[in-house]
Order: sequence, then structure tokens, then C-alpha cells
Amino acid sequence: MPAPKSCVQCGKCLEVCPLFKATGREELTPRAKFFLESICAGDEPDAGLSERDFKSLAALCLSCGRCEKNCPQHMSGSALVTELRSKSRGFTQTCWDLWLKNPGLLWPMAAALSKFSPEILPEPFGSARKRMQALFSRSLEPWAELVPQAKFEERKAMLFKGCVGRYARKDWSDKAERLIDGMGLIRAEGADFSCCGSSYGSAGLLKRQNISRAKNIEIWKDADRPLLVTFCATCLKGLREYSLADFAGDEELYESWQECLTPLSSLLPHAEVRLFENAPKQVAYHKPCHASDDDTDRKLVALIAAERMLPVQEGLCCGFGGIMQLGAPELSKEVGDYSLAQHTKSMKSGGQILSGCSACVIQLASLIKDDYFASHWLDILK
Amino acid sequence: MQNYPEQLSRTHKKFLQNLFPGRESSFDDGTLFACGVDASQRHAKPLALVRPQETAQVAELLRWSHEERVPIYPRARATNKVGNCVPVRHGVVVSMLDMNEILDIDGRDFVAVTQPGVITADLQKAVEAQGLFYPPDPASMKISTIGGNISTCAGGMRAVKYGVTRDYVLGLEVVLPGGEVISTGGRTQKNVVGLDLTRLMVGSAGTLGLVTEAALKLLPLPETSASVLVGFENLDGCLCGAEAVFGCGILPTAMELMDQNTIKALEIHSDVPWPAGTGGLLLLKIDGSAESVNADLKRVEDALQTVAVTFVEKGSGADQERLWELRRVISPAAFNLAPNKQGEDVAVPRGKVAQAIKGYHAIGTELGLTVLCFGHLGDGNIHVSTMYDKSAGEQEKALEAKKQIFQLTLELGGTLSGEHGIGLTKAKYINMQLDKTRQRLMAGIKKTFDPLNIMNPGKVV
Repeated sequence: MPAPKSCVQCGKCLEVCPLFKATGREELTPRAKFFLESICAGDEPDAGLSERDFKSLAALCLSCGRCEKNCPQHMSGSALVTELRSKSRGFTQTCWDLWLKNPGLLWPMAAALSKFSPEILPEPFGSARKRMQALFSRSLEPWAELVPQAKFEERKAMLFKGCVGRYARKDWSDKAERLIDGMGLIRAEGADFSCCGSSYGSAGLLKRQNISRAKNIEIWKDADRPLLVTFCATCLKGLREYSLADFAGDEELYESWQECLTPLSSLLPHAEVRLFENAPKQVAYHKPCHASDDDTDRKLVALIAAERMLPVQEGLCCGFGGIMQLGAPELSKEVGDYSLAQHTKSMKSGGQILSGCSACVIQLASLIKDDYFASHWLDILK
Repeated sequence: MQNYPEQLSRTHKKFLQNLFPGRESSFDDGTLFACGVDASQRHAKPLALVRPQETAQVAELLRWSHEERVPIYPRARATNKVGNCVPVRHGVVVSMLDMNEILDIDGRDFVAVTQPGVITADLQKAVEAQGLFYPPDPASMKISTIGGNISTCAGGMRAVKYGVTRDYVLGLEVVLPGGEVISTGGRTQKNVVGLDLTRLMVGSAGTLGLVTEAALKLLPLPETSASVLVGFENLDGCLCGAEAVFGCGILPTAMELMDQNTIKALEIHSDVPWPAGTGGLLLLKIDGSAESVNADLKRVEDALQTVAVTFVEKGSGADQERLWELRRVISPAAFNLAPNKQGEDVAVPRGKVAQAIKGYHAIGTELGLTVLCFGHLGDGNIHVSTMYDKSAGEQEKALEAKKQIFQLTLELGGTLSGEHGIGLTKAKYINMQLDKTRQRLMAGIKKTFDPLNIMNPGKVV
């Protein structure tokens, strides 16, 4: 039987941790978090690290999940942070307080904040949302048209818009629905989905995450289990993480759910691409931390951009970091700036960075310099 | 024991904050704890962490610390396994991670000049893009730095053919205690003027001075390489296979061995390509021109015809990395067998490897502990990991195993450490290998460089 997992301080996580890459600060690495936890919880009560000091450092995590994939023992820094956050009494309150005090500071978080509790958004949210909409005022001129080749008959589908597609970028949802219609899928009727649960999870709001999951499953079941089409890599990851327990142990239902989860880009591998004259000379793909192994967004962007596509740089995180923006927006920005500097290193003015994750797009678009654009691949479509 | 400050005075702190403004210095508990641990899992809390951006800052720091008798603990990514980065006498940890520029790659001189914080794999990629080659490849190369590699004289899997870090360091810029900056060696491939201070610095674990720049020797990049993973029923078969390969007249780039317990740890950790019941593995790499690699591969295959093999997988180009990744994760994957590991990296003369490995296993069996042997069969440097459970009171037995492993190694004409060094974790065994005369000579050298013992105090090199 394998021994219980524990961090052995080997440092493999240093290779992938985006916070460490951008800042060079060892105390922010998963390795440091596990070590500090062991000091705090451990055999040496007089070691001298207060729980407060530990938590203030440990909370600085972008929840990208890269460390777990690279760790020989599969230790997850983000799982440690989620657990800390969920156990930390008053954590949510602290976040709300921070938000309410600094609504202006946190405008890139507007979409994510909608996720926390859209039904009880206090007034500052409204203004934040306006700011976020302003962020997209420098919108892209579409430069491509996709004609889907896949044809479905009698297959029902629902679009899982995600919080951004639902509240902030309804145009993404409209375009996605047009593509779905173009493939002959029948749009199933149903109530609005709730948050996928991903952001609640990383924020440690596990109860809320469970409520969201239950609601989404119910809506999908009521609509007779249609395909659940997404255009956000983080939503897809969040939905894929639903566990058998969320389906009350019903394996057949759980498997059916997993089978129905469909990234929009996966339906378009053979789409006909028509480019307009204003197509940019260079296109970079930003690979989201939450992209699945079979990253169909990347394939679609490569299909559209063809020879315009720059080599994809692995291992760059946008730095959005969900709830971390509330506590350490400057760190989140530092990681985003680092990522953009890498993306634009060999990019000429007018180059575009495309992605398939709403959070990445918000973060990159809010930080990018005027010479370039960052957007969702849906933005470039007519 | 010498007295060092237990805490920073207000003047000390002010000095450090002036020299290292803003984020270049830290004094909070979390950060200090986090920079006081390394892969040995030993830890201590320093009084301050500083992050120099240039040599001048390091020189001023070492002038001050010499004057104030404040210990200096150089640090990069702290992947060493013997506690060399642990600030046991507190003092100031100096993180070299911000000095991370490759300053020059010169294809005519076959030289690269780098700062210490450059990641080894990044340097390799950069020189390879110009058709050049920096061979030392410690298992940690994707996460460890040139500075760390120099201070530990890191080895690696390609050492069989290409040697270790010291064979590639042509010159160094070093800041000495007191603040003087010296250059040792240079950019020439040969140099016999004076005593070899460059070689003295390499592997000195930050106890003599602080390296701020290095001129490294490069080679032409081999055109291609290929790897072969070969499975055997047991260790005897594996060692016969190794003999056969060495006997066929080629020098592989790398030749790694994994014993049965190592195989077990890897099987728990990841998907493995070999069939169940495999009791020994050899992993070989060959490099050179396309023609020579093909010819050498054929020779290896022919040589292996003479021994009983259970499994063969070949890889070439980027595809071979998946085979090598299995080798690189052994060290951490070993923890799948037991929660605590006591890792040795002894080296014996190449002809004594079989005898040594059998002896190490016998020591484990005798004491009732799992002993893993893996590593650089090709150059006689064997990683011997004794796995144990501290909470079950097995620590004493593990220490006994360590002593017996060292004893056997020395009897076979070997050395206590081929790569990792002595540091903290092996300090008390140094007398087993070095007699008083040699230790006296070394202490004299240390005193010449660092009369007040401020550089990485508390460590044995």
C-alpha cells in the first residue's frame, strides 16, 4: 500500500507555478505552502509561524492546477488552498468586504463576482459590470466566418453560457447559439443555468458549489439530457469535475452527464473557414490552465489562423486567479503582465491573442497594451 | 561554537533595506521560513532574505557581513538533498534567482557566460538553438540553476561520456567575504597558470565565496540521439546486460540502472511501459551523427542478444524524453514505498558496481528495510535510498543502514558522495573517508578564503 502523500520539497512545482515564474518569489510556490503548513500544524509548536501569517501567504494561489499535474506525488497546491479557504471562518465575508471597499480596483473581477451570488449583487457590482463592459468597448472587427460542416438530426442541445456569457458578453452567447443552430442541433428549452461551480470551489465556498451543481444537473435533467455546449474552458472543467455523489450515486446519469459535456469548438473541426481582408498577420493562442488535454479551442484557432498562427507557448497563466484578485490584485496583474510579455515577444503591432476561456480573456484584455488585442475566438467571428 | 547574531539589530535591518530596497529584501516570518528549507527537508529560519540584482550589491553585502560577522547562505532553487541551503546559523539568505540572465553565447569561442540564477535546462535550450551543447544534466535540470549546479558540482546522466559540471566551468566571477570580487580562469579551454581556483570553487557549496557569473565550456550539439530501455528478469540479468554493452566497444552517453524496488515505486507512481514482473531495467542513451548512432545501436542490440532480455523499447528524437522522464521522477516517486527516505549517492569504481549493489540490498534485507538502488551505472555513481517509516520508529535502523552502506562503499574503493555532497546530512560521516591530514589542508584553504567563517557556516564539504 502506498505511503500517505506528503510534500518532499523536491521543487518540481517550481517548474510550472505561474506565480513563481512571474515573481521569482519562492514563498509563493506550492512547495513553500506545504512546508509552511507543516510548520504551522506540525511537531514544532514553537516554530514561530502564526496561523495568520501562514494563511496570508498560503492564500496566494491562482488555482491553475499545474503543480498537481507536475508533482511526482500529485500534491495539489490549489486543493490545499481550497481547503484552507473553506475552513477559514469569515473568509467569504472578508472577500465581500474587500470588494465593497474597492469596487473600482476589482473591475476585471466583475464577471467572477457575478458568479458568487448573482441574485444579491449589491450596487457596486452594477458599476463594476459597466467597467467591464467598457473594457470590451475596444472590440475587435470580426475577420472570419465559420460555416459548420457537422450536421445533427434530432439531437437536442443547450448552451452553457457561463457567468460571463450570461451577464457580460451576451454577444458571445448569441454567436455560439447561431453556430449551434447552423449544425442542426435543436435548442432545448430550460431555465438559466447557475455558475459551473469552479470559482466557488477554488474560493472554498463548497456549500455554494454544491447548490450550483445540483441546480445545473436538475435543469439538464428536466430538459431531457441535451448536449451541454460550452465556450469557456474553465466552465467545461468545472462541469467535468462534478462527482458521482452530485448525482446521488446514479452511475448511468453521471456518465450521461460526462458524455453530454461538449466544447463548442469540438463541433467545428471541419468547419469551412472564410477569412476577410482585415485578418491580422499574426495570431497567438493563449492556452488556459484549465484547458483539457484534447484542447479543441487550440485546434480551432489553428484551423482559422493557419499560417498566421504563432507557435503556442505552453505554461503561461493569465493570472486571473479567481478569488486571489480580491486579496492580491497586484500579484494577479504581475502574472498577467508576464504572460502578455511572453505572448507579444515576437508579435508585431496588430497581432491578436485568442483564447477559449472567459476568465483568461477578461484578464488579458484588461492588461494588454494598445498595440495588440486579446479576445475570445468567438470575437473574431462574424 | 562561534557566536553569530541571533537577531538583526535595527542598524542591520536598515542597512539591508537600503542595499536591497523594496521587494529585494524580506523579513516576514512566512518568507523567512520558506527560504530556510531545501530538498533535504531540513530547515532553519534565517534573519533576512535578500535578492541581489547585480554583483555590486553582493560585494557590498559580503563586505558588511564580514565586518558584522553575519552568516551568508547562498541559495538558488534549493533542490540539493544534503541541507546545503539550510541557514543553520540564521544569518542572511541570499537568493540568486533574480540574477538570471544569459550574458553571452559565443559559437566561435564555444563559451556561454551566464549569471547564477539561469535554469540549467533554459541554458541548454538557448545554446542548442545555436547548434551548441552544454552536457551536464542533473535530474533536476528543469528546476535547478547553473549557480546551484556549480556550487554542488552537479553530475547527471550524461556524465558517463561527457563528465560533470566541473569539466565545463572555464571561469568564474566570485565575491569573497570582505567584498572583494575576483575572476578565476577565463574563456580559454586550457589554462595552467596558478593553482586551479575555478575547480576549487566548483563543488565548494558556497563555503568559500559567492559565485555571481560563470563562463561555461560548450561543445558542438550532437546531430541526433537515441535511447533504449531494456527490461530483465532480475538484477543479475541487468548487470550482465550492462557488462555486455560496455564490452561491445562503445561509450554510451548515459547508462542508468533501476532495481526491482525502484521499478515498484515507479509502477505506483505512473503508467509504465514494461511488463509486470520486470526485475531490473537498463536505460541507455547514445548520441552522435545519424550514422554513428545507428551503428552503435546495432552494436548494443547485438551485445544484448547474448543475455536474457524481457523487454526492449527504443525512442529517438523528442520521443525518448518519456523514457528519461521515468528516470527523473524516481527520487520523489520513492516516497510511494515509505514516508521517509534516506538517500545516499555513493560512487564506486565501475568494476565494483555489481558487488556494491548486492551488498546494499543485503544490508536492507538484514535490517528489514527496503533499499532502492538506481542511477548512473555507467560511471559507478549509485543512488541508494533506504526507505523507512519514522513514525514506526525505524529511524535508528535507517541510520545503521547508512553507516553500513558507507562502510561497504569505502571498502570497495568508493566515495561517500558522487554528486550530492556532504552538507548537513552526512557531516558526521566525513571522518570515515577523509583523514586528519586532508581535513587540515582543506580547513586551511577555507580559512584563507573565509577567515571569519561567514560563508555557509555549519556545513561540511
